[in-house]
Formats: sequence, C-alpha cells, structure tokens
Amino acid sequence: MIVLNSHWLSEWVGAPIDHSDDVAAMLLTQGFELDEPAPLHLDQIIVGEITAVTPHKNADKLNVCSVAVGENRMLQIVCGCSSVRVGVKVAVAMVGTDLGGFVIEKRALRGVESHGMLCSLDELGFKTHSGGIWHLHSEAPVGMQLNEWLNRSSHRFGIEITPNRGDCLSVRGMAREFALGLSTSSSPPWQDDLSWMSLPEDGQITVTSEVADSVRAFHLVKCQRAKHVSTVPDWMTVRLLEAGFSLHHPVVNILNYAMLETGQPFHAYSGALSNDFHLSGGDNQSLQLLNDDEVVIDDKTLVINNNGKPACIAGYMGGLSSASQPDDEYIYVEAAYFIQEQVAYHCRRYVDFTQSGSRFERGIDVGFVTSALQRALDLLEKYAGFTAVSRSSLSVNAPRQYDITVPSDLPQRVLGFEYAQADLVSAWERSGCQVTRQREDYTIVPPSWRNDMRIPQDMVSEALRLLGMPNQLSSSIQLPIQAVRSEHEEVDSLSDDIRQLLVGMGFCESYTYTFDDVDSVSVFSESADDIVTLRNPISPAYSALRTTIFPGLFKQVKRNLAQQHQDIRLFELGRCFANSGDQIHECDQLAAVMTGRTAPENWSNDLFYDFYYAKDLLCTLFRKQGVDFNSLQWRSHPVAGLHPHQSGQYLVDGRVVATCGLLHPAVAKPAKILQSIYFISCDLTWLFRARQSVNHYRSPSKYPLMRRDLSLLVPTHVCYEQIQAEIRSGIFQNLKKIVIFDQYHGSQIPDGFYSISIGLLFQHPQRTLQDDELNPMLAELLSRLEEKFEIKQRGG
Amino acid sequence: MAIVDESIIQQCRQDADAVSSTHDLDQIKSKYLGSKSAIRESLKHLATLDSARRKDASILVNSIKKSLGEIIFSRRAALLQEQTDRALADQGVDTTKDAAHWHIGALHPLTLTLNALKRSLQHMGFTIAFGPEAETFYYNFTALNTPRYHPAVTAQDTLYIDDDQLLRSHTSCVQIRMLEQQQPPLRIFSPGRVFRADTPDATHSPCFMQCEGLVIDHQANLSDLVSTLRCLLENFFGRSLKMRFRPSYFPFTEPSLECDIWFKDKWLEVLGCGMVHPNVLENLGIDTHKYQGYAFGLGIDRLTMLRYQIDDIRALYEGDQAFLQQEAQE
Repeated sequence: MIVLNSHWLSEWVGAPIDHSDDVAAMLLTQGFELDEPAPLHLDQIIVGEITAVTPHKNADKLNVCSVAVGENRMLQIVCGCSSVRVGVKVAVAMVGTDLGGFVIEKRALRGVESHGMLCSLDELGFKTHSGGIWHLHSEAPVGMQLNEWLNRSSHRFGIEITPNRGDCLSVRGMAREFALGLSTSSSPPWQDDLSWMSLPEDGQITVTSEVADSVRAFHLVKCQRAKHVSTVPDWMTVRLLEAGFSLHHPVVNILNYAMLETGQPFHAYSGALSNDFHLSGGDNQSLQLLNDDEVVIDDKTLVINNNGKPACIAGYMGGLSSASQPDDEYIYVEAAYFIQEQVAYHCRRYVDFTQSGSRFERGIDVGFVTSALQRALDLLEKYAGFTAVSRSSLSVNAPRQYDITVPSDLPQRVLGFEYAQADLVSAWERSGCQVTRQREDYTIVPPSWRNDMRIPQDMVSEALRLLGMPNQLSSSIQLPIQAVRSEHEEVDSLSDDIRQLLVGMGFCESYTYTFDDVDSVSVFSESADDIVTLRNPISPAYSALRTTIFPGLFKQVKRNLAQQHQDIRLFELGRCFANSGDQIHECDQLAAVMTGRTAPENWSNDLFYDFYYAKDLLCTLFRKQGVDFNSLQWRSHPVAGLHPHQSGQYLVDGRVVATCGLLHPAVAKPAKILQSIYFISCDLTWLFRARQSVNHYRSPSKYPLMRRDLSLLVPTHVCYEQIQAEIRSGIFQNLKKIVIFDQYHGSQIPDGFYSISIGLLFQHPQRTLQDDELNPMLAELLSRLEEKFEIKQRGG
Repeated sequence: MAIVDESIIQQCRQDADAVSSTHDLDQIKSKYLGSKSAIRESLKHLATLDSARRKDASILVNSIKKSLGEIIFSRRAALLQEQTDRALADQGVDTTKDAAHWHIGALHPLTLTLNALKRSLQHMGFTIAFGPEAETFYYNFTALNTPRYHPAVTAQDTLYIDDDQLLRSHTSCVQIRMLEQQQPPLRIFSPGRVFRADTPDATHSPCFMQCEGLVIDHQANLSDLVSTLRCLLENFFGRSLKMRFRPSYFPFTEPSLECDIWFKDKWLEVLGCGMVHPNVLENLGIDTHKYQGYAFGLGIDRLTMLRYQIDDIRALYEGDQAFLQQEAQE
C-alpha cells in the first residue's frame, strides 16, 4: 500500500482532489483498491512557540511552559519532555483536541494547571521513535493550523498497488492515474531542465559484459556540501512519514522523497569513496548491508564495486561502510535502471523488503531516469546544501523501444464483445501509448513507464480497464453433450458416500489444520522420519505436516471437553503427508474420533463407546463399500498414540490401510482427560481401489435361516481370531454369518478359561437345510477346537 | 312343556351382559343354547305338534334361537375386545416422556457450501478435479507465469517445505496438472485446501478452501466468464445479485478481474478471475491461436461465512460440536 496526501497529488494534477466515494469508485474501476491508512491526528493541531519555561515546583521531570498560540493567546502547558526551550516552535494540541480517542482536557499536573499538550511525532500518529516533542522549523508561523504549515490536506489515500503496476508506486504515477480518471492531465510541479547533464565528466564507470544486460542506465553525480543543513523541511518529513518511510539524515530523506515523488530509486554513496565504479556479478564476497546483515554476494547478484570492493547490491541495498554519512563533505548520487528480473532476484535472495528493490523489481520508468535525477539534485541543493559538481555515466545502449501488434479482432475474441475502434485507440492513447493502425492490426508503442504492457492481451486488459464492460453481456456457451466420468469424480463420490454414512451415524464433519506442532504430530506418527516440516512456518505451533488427522481431532476433542461436551463424535476427510525418500507422500485419509455415550444421555440406556464401536465403525465402512474382507488382515498391534493393548490395524498385502484404538493413557493423562477416546483412520486412496460397487442384486433366499449356538470354554491365551479362523476354515457350507452374542469371565468359569457364545447362521439358496447336514459339521468344528486349543463346549 | 316365547331373549341379554369373562359367557351359552336349554327342549317339542301349528312355532323358535346366538356372539366379541384393550393398556408407556437415542451428525458448513457450488458447476458441465496439496514451485508458480523471482512470489506468503516443495498457495496449480493430462477443450473445477503464511485471526486462516474453475475452448471469452460466474453465484445465494467486476492482477490471467457482490449494503470481494494468460497455455504446448480460456478462484470460506453469517473464520476449524451440529440447512 502506498499512502499519499491528496494535497501532494493535487499539486501534480493541478486541481483539488477530494477523498470522496466517487474518487474511490473511480480508482477501483481503474484497478486500485483503497485501504484505510492508520489514523493521524494532525487536523486540530496548532503551531505554537514556547515563550517561557519554568521547572515544576513539585516534580523534577516536569516543566511549566508558556506557549504562544496566536491571536495573543498564551497557554500554560505542563510538559515532561526535556527538550523544551524558549523559542522552540511546537505542535500544540489544545484543550478539546482529539488525539485518536484521547481528548486533551484542562487538568492539574501535581498542582499546576495544564491547558494542552506539546506533541511528539508518535503522539500525532506517526510510526516513528521520535523520543520527545516535535521541534518545528523556526519559520513556522505561530497560531497557524499545522496542516496549513505542512502543505497537507486531511485527506489521504491508502492505495493498494498490484505487482504489475510498479509505475504507480510514486506520486508521479498515481497522479497520472488520477488525471486519467478525472479526464485531465498531470505534470510535475517543477521545471525540467536536465542541467546536470552538462556537468563536467569525472571518473569512470565500467560494467562487466556478463551483467551489462541487467543495466539500462547508470549515472553518478558527485555533490559537494555548500552549507550544513541538519534537517529537511517539516512538510517533507511529514510526507515521508505519511508514506510509511522512516527518517534518516537529510540526504537520505531527500532521496527517499525524490523516489516517492518520481518513482526513481536513488542511492547515495559516501564521497570518501574513489571515483572508480565497476558493475559486476558477485564473487562470493561478504558485504555488511545497511540493515546490518552480513551477506555473501553470489554470482547471480549484480553488485556495484568501488575500488574493487563491493559497495552496493544493485537496486536493492547499499553496504554499510560505503553509505553516505550525515557529515560527508561529498556524496555520490546514483540513478540507474536495473532490469526487473535482476532486482527481483536480489529481493528474494536477500529477503528483507526495501523501498528501492520493490520499485525496481516491479519496473521503473526508463525514460525518466535523467529527469528524476535532476529533481533529486535540485532538492539536495535546496534542502540539504549539496551542489552537483561532476558526473559520470555508464555508456549503455539506449533501451530498445518495442511495439506490440494487436490484431484488430483480438479484443472481441478475448472479451466476447466489441469496442468501437475510436474508443479503443483513444483509451490506449490516454494511457500514453502511440497507436497506429496498419491493415488488420494495431501497432502500439507503450509509454516507457508501463512495464506491464508486453503482449497483445495486455493491451486488451488496458482497454477493458479504461472502457469497462457493457451492462449486458451475451454469452454463447455451449455445453458438452457427452457426460464426463473421470476418476476424480469417483473419488469425490466416495468421499460423499463416506460423509453420508458417518453423518447418518451421528458424527459431525470437521476440518482441522494441516499442520501442528512437531510434538503433537510425533505422538501419532509411527516414525519421526515420516514427519514433513515447513521451512518457514508461521510459528512452531504450525511447523509439522500431519501424518494422520489424529492430532487435529485430538485438539478439537480437548476443546469440546473443555466446553463441557462429553459425548463427542467428529470426523474429517483430509490429506496427510509423510516423507518418502526425497518425495512427499500425500494421501487422502478418513479419521474419526468418538468418546462418551453412544447415545445422548437418557434414562433408558447408557452405553459408552468402547474399542469395539471403533473397530466396527471401520468394518461398517468397509461393508458399505463392498470391501472383500478376505483381502484384509487384522493385526493387534500398537498404533502410534494409541493404547498398546487396545489398538490394531487392518493390513492389505502387509501395508496398513486402516487403524483404530483407544487413546494412549500416557497421552490422555497430561491433558487431564479421564474418559476414553477412540480413534479410527482409513486410507482412502486404498479404499477407492478396494471398494466394489454392487452390480448384481441376488434374489432373496426363500429358505429359512438355520441357527446353531455354541457356548465354548476357551483357554485365556486363545483369541477369537483363532476360533474364527477354524470356523472359516472350510468345514461349513452355506454359512451365512457368525455372531458373538455373549462373552463371560466369572465365577462359574474354571480358572484359565473364558466363555464365549457364538451363533452360526446357515442358509441354502435352493432348499431348507436339515439337522443331519449341520450336526456333523458342528461336531467336526468342536473336535478340531478341542484338539487344537483345548476348547470345550460349555455344559457339553 | 311349552314352547319358548320371546321373553327369553331379554332374559338372555341380561344374563350375557352381566358376565365379565368369556368363561362365564360359555355357561350362559350352555344355559340358553346347550343341550338342556329351553330352546333345545322347544325344538324337540316341535316334532310333537301338528303340522298346522308346527310351521309357525318352528319359525318362532328358530328366530329366537338365532337371536340368542347373536347375543352370545356379540357379547363374546365385546368381551374379547375388552380383554385386548386391557392387554394393550397394560403395555402402555408414558408417551409424554422423551429419551434421546440418536446423536445428530452434520456436514461441515464448508462442505455444504462446496456441495452447493458443485451442483451448479456440474450442471454447467464442469468436471471435478483434484491435485496435490504439497506442490512443487513449478506448479504453484513457474507454470502459472510466475518466475521464481517475480514480485508476486513473496516468501512471506507461501509456506515452503524446501527450495522446491511447498504447500500450494492456490488451487490454480490444478489447472496445469489437468492441462498436462487432457487436451482442450475442457471444463473443470477443483475444490481443495490451500495455505498461506497467515496467523489465524477472525478473518485469516493459514489453511482455507478454494475452488478453482477452468474452461479452455475455441472461443471461451470474458463474456462467457462473467455469465458463468453470475449463474454460479446467483444459484449459490438463491437470488439475483448485484455484481461488479473490476480490473486486478494475477500473473496467470490477462485480463485479470476481481468480482464483488453487493451484500448487506456493501461491496464484498468474492473471487478473482480472468482470461488464462497465453504464456500459461503456450508453456503447455497449447496453440493459443486455436484455444483460449478463462479461470476463476472462489474462496469457499468467505462464501460460507457470508451464506451462514459466520463472523469468525476460526469457528470453521475449531471443531466445536455444538457449532457443527447446528445443521445449517442447504
């Protein structure tokens, strides 16, 4: 955002510019959004003069000042600043003045009445460390409104400039846009004489051929101090501060001001340097920059060397030791044109933002370098007491003027509507282009400041920007007849199916952040090597990419518990990441978390989620998607972050495709969580491949289901999976389903055993099954169970 | 022995009404219709009568018998009904009480928004497409006409994994991936998560959702783009909208536009769009004399917040169950 005072702009446009809704709308249609700049509190401030200072009787650090504020009025103001002196011109906030919600009142400070406040720059709203009240220039007229003294209006524009419009990062550029919108013209409020070009040549500037293409202009002017000036005019200070520049010594302030005004960056070298300058690529030298950073200059960097030592990174930032100093007797002022790509490299490579770099990389006006330099020199002479004495310039080929050929049917082809030829030509000409029409084409030479005009489509954009679009647009869209069924569509429909299933089961869909702190992600990661970390995280709390969705869901569960919701069911479908060699493996995952009651609290039943709910949620999902259970292998195995004896995984060909289990007590305990929290996760990339849609509905069997119940006494070390494996080992034909309907450990059961009751359901598609068919198979099962596992039939 | 007269009917009815069980009614039945009942005796007696009297007497007796039968039958039915009613009453519950048994699940508001957009886009012939969230510099920037050192590539904005890999900062990368796989013409949309280095606050989130749209065809032009977006947004908000398109800048579109809608008395920015930059297409080997197209990127979070009057974006990522269960109706 660039913040400019409307008074400054109106000096260029030659007419007053209001900050009205109309002007805002005008800028918006030209592609500039307005933003509200931070408030300033200058509007009610009066210029005053301290006429007497007496120490406060009851306070060492306070002074009682008499301040003249015009019309023979004298105010008694108590001030805590040590720099108060008789004769100093000050910014006075009188009683009733609003300094951003802080209204000055008449009040007594340790028994002495104070009728106002002497303001510092930061008290007026500027972001600067002024360290005391603002001393205005001695010529400031007492009693004058401060705004009038500063040549400013209370209207400011905070303008967002898109990266293509580097030309607008200046008063010159924005004045041009205002003039364009207001159908007038803009011009610099000074005479353009280029007298510096007739200065005697002195010294030499050379450039290595490898980098010569990056430099389109390079001028140095040596200036000699004619008088000492310690500060720039008050209006210049305020214009710099309003635009967000920080304050330095006068030479730097003036060059910044000239840059803000013209868009041309400058650099000032100390006059103590020799007059031998050479531009080259870097050679891995180190250079301490003005921001105190010590950087190594690589060979892709364009550097300005003095006497063989690097002095400045072109267009970006100067070196600390070669910079101009407040007491320099001589300075070198540089005005150059470095190509955008070169400075853009510097800006990315050396990271810190600089005003100069941000202008060069967006493109400055190659046609205005010499004029801007003249302006800078004039300002230096007038306000810093430096006189130009000699110059030297790098001889470079004049930048090639290029033109753009726009086929006359292109605007219509791109936009779908037509502009009158005269309108098109006039729009382009208003932006400063030279337009000629040759047969079917327009040949356009863009103005030197419009670095964004490169290709014919850019000219269509410019026409659209200036001419707008008609209210009624007609579209000739034709829809394709054939339906497109892509794999992406299928993936999306799987996601929708899963959402539907889980929502139907009472789960709420949630979204969690993709990243978390490393510790939280580690808890739920199988290996620390899996974790992908960000190089530039917003904060350590968002530095590691999730390997599963568990950390995010766990955080949300904690939040809900803190909100006193005890029954929680959340799920998310999202991407998870893991390192896999040099690559990042990215997969779609479903994860769900459940804790508390399986139904809302009520008087008729009270069941709580347990491991089997979680596991069955996975099974239900698999059944719903038609997954072949024979391809799945269950493994009781500790899952990272989950209870080592209440968690496990489904595997396919040895690869984990789903997990479930209870949160590890060691994870729950530090979070002071007492209730059991269950998680499930499923790899959706696998599920997408494994799912089978129903493509044949079988007729229902007309024959009865036969059920045989077995109550078994099982040695404790034998798990259900082993029994199930026997049942499924091929003994039975027409077995439809197995259900466990009871499980019991208790007094009636011998030590070392537990009881399990299993129902087996049989159905033949074509006839009723007979007892004498089933009984031998059951007998076979029982005998195998006894033989292999010492399992007995209870009561048998 | 005399033939019964009609007074017995009244008598039977009184007796039947007096009993309260089918068992007792059986005794009444045998009293009036059993083998020793007056009616049986009368029937036997009919045989002794001469034919002249027998006919009248027979009619009388049989009609009395029928009436008695009906009385017993209907009384039995009534008793059975009472019995059933009593049994049902015993099964009664206090239907005025409630016992909650079903947890209510809900889709996330972002999903609801996305579903609404998806329906519209699919009606308009757009096909869904997905791409990776961890992208390379090439797909996120270079291929989108944004060279590595372009001013739009500000390091502060994008979350990098290393020099080459990053978390995508927009869904526009999917344009490139799809155009690599499929020759134009094509019409796709790609919803998904994108990332920016923004510290979470009421209006910023480091992760948020975008939905990209891309049409490449022989004549797909800016008027088509505007018409498509009008249709999409008007469907989404369910009413006609005041819309404004203003010039903007994206490296991968030319011209680039920002679209605002008039919402609750002010203009709100809802999407960026434009004509796909010829450099993007040419890099993919697409003949820009033959094909051109448009692209748009919608902020799903923003639209969700507008649609459901949510004023803090963080609510969408906090997983507060009470918030999520509000079941914003589609």
